[in-house]
Amino acid sequence: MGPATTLHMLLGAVVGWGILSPLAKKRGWAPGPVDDWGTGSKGWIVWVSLAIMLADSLVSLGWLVLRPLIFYGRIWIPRLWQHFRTHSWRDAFTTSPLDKTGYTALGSSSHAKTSPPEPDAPPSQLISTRITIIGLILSLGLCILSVHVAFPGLIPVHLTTLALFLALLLSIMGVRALGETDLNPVSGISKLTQLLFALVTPTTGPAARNAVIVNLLAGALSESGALQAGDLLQDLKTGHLLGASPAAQFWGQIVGSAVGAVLSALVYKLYTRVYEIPGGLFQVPTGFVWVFTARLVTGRGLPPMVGRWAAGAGALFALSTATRVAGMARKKAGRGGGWWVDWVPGGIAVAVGE
Amino acid sequence: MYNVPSFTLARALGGLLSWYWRRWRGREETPVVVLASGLILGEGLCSIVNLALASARVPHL
Repeated sequence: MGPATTLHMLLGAVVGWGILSPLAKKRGWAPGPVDDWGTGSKGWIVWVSLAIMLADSLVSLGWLVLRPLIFYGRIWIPRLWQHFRTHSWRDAFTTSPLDKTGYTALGSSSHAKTSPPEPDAPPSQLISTRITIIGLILSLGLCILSVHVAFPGLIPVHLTTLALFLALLLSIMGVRALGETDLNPVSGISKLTQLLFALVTPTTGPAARNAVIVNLLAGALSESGALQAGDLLQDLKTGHLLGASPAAQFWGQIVGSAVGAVLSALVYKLYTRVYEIPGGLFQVPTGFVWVFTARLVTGRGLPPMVGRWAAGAGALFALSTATRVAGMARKKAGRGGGWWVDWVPGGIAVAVGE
Repeated sequence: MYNVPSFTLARALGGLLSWYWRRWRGREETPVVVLASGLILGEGLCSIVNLALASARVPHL
């Protein structure tokens, strides 16, 4: 985590605690003691930070989806257009646009010319597709089963399946972002999932009692999926660079995950038995962010004046993230003028510091 | 933004230290990374020791 990120975090802390918090307390928007999550300014600034996180993740993940579409669209759309124009309707659907019958410009395929691909592991050391598919189905089934054993009757099966499906999609996006920027946007991903789920969970009627829990569970599934995908990606890449066998790594990761799941649950129970959580040393601010998000998207109210401040902060940081993304793209393309990128605060760093 | 300032100040200090090391002293990044990993590991181990002591109801300092 370089000096740029930590200075952005310092900026976030100064703005949050030095400016917003006294403002909220003086103007009476958050009248309670500062330490209180419900009526105090500590809870008030969480909403602003939430808006910044949402804005940042929407912009950066949206760009992540848009960029390959633009890149490949620029190549394929003219080709497809030409294909449909030069063939009769019947031929257009029977021949493939991949056959190059006309002239193509010399430079059109040169963008794909990169350095020769790194040598891959020999096939005996790779995990076969069969194992991947069987493992995927088994692990998805295990996940749905454990959710329904641990939280009986609270979340319907189709919503769990939807959450898992979203987790799969969003973890691909998170892994791409991680690979390109070395930061896994898991908090943004979980907030996005909570937002999406708010559109599908019923907020009125008998099933609405569990709306907050359903929302929290969905966010948890997608965030943990993206987090673990990112960690495994980094391990596998390190192994690839060192020449390790991916098959051995894979089985090691399975053993590690199994042991880790049990161990972390035990340690959690130990911690909650010994210390009082939340309170004192363990403030768990992130836990409150999750609950606030769940309550917000399922329609509970906002503290006074939060709406416009949060919206303003969100808009400001959407702009700032867009600027950063554009600057990074310029830096990567090698065109000059990328020096100012580090000075533009990035939304996630200011809001959370992760 | 909502983390306690002590947490954020510590991180900012670490970032500035790393900047000083790289820019002013012009040294490699590796010793700083190793130092950081050591600090994190040490804090983790100490918190486990803390946990054990707290569960044995040893009064805090």
